Amino acid sequence: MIPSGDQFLQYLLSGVTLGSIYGMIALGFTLIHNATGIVNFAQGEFVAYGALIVFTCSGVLGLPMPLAILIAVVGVTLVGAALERAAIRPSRRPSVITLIIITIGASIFLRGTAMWIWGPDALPIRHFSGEEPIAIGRASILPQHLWIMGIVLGTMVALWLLGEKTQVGKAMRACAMDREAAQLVGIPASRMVMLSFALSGTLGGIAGAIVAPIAMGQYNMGIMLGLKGFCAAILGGMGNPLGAVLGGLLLGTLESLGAGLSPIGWSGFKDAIAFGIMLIVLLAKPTGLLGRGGR
Amino acid sequence: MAADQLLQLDRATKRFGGLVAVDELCFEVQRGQIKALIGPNGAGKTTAFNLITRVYPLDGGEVRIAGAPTRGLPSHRVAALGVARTFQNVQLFGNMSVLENVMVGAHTRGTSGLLSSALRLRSMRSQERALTERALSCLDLVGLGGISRDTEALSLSFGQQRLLEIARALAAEPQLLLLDEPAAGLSSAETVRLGELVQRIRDLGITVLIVDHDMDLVMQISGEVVVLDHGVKIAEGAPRAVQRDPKVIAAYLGEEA
Amino acid sequence: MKHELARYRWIVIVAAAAAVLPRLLPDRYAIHLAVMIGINTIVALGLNLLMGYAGQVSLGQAAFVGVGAYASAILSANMGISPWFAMAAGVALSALIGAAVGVPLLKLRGHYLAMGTLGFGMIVHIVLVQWESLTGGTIGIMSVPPLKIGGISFDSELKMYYLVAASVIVAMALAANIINSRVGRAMRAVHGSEIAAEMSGVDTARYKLQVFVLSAAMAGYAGSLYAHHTTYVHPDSFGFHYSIYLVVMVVIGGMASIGGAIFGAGAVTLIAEHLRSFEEFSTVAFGFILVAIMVFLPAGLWRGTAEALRRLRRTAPTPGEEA
Repeated sequence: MIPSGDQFLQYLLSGVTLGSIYGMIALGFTLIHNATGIVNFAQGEFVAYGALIVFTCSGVLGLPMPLAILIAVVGVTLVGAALERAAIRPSRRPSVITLIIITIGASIFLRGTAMWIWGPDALPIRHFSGEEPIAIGRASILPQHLWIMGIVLGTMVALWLLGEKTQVGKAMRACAMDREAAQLVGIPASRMVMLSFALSGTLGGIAGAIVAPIAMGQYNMGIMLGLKGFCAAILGGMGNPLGAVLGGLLLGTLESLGAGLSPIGWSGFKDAIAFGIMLIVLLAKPTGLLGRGGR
Repeated sequence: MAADQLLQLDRATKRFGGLVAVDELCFEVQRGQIKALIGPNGAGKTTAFNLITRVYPLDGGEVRIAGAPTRGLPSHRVAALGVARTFQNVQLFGNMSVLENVMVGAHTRGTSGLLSSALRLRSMRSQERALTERALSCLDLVGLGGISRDTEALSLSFGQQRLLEIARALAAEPQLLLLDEPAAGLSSAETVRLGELVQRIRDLGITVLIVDHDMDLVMQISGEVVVLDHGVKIAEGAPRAVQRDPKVIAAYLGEEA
Repeated sequence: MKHELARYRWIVIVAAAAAVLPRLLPDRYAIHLAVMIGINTIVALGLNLLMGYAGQVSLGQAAFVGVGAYASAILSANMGISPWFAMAAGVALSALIGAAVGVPLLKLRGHYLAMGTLGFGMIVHIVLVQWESLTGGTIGIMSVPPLKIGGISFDSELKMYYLVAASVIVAMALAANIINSRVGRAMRAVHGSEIAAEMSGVDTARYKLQVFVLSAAMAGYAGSLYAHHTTYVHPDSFGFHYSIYLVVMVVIGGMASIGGAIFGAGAVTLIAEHLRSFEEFSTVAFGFILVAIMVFLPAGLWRGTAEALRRLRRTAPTPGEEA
């Protein structure tokens, strides 16, 4: 089934939008992995909480959307820091399996709490600036898509500035590169670890807040998003922030094109695209497209 | 003559990025001797061991065990050729007991597989008995015969752990035993006993190649010494002669400078 | 001799308990739960060999259970093939798939291996859902016939209970035998120090693959038992959640411990059942308890408590207490 140029453009646009979200989530994984070597299974839950807190602030409490987003992002940042404090820091004898189970347990805990607070149903969140489709060529996107792409871009720039221009950011990068050397020059490694979890929370929270109007908020939305974000991180190269973003965009586009272009009845396999790609990368070149040696 | 050369390094070379860790290294180890490989820190001694045991692949040259080239072989196949080693930082199986550690050393001497083990067939049971006997005698040989066989390996003292590693290596009835800094961290009394043990091992017909920094030990037990500096062989010969060699003295003094 | 038989003492205890248990259980539902615990124990034993003893990770074990279950269901329900043959085919297929994915995947380590097995598990689940013509998709497969020996049909909870209990005991014995053998020591050596294992002549790649395939085969067998017991298979029973539950069983019970596998399987199965009726707060509690255990008792409840008690009594630790 050969797509028309418009259809192709449509898939591409939604793919880039989806990919931006994956990229944010992948970046969250990368941040924590760089600082600690841990894969944070609860990353998806950060996204879910971002969406759900926006629902409560905007939908239930009637707060203006920018304030709702702010509260959500700050809230999830705190959740990230709390996760590190409560579950990671006190653990003894942390082998790989132990750490995996800890973050899995944390994600179960967070998911359960989310269901307890918000119930099991999908909750609608208001689009930031209306739902009037915007025409691009003969394809169309929603204003929310533009918000997503724009905010993700802005976040990337902010992160870059953080890493390049601020003490804290540079300290985090130093810690990620060589923890011992960083400690030798006086950088408190354990605080950097907590900061990386907190910052991961921020990214997850933003991702959740901006994708919520389209995806709706639901207690278990984090599972698939988290897993696919992880696939994106592997694709781009675990450990490389630019790779995370690129991996996200690439994965989102491939998924969108794959789902759109696949023959009737095969579209259900679109979820398999992400995992299939991840497996291929892991087996062919585990360091991913842009990866360094990794931990 | 060639059969007497149990180990032969023929222009063996290993590079790490731009650094040449071992540079066209040539030496032989004759059957039945105790040979020492010494040199200042970073000379490439452990790298040479890793090349012999194929932990690293060669970047050039050849390594031959009893005349057979080892290029392309995985480490466990080198072990099957009759090479056993101990490690600089003791690599015991912390999840197993003293006896089990030594029994793993004799892995190549056994043949029982998954099925016969799961069903505990007679063939497997008799092999286990023989394996246990052999392991116990290796523990006796290194002086750990008094330890309860079920003791967790890591609960031994450091000196005992080193001896356990040697027992494990001996369980394979190797032709060639590589000892990587076995005296490091041992008291002088323990080092003396180690030297006696190595000589007993040689008397059993096992050829020994030893890397160590303890000069007294090396001089006392080795028949021949090879000196490395920055990956290059700078001297080879009888211990006394090598000790007096000006190049060797300069290499070690250079290290202190 | 005494030392040799000691490793079977747990098995004797379990066998005795299993013989008596049905009389103590109040109703058929309780017996059904016992059957489920037994089935989960078989998977957990295999996973324990893989994770606890050989030191590898699998976050996709549910896929192998699913393969066994669906092979049994498809062959016996849809194609009229004898249930025993279907079961044998299920086990064989699980083992085959285990070998096929194990060869490339086991080259990975640590987190990468974990994610690789996770990806594999997700893909199998998606195939089970999407390949409707074969698997019935989200409708699943119903009316899976029960197993039969001679005239006896294993069509009640109680009969399945005895079959499963016998299977568990056999599996425990096989596992205990393997662990204390040349093969088992080789696998454990891979976990202890891969480089020293290689230098002792252990073909680490081969032994990793062997234990991976064995755990897949055991999972496949358990899956078949599941299909012939519940007579209905559905893809969501073999997804991500089940894989996680299985890993939790092994970890909570305590890795490298056969008794721990039963304990973990029992604990998690019962908690999961409870979760079904109480959805909300129980999930929260489950996650909380899981984190707490991993943080403070990383050796698991079974081993961890035993170790803690030993420390309190201040006797030297004695290993080899598995089974």
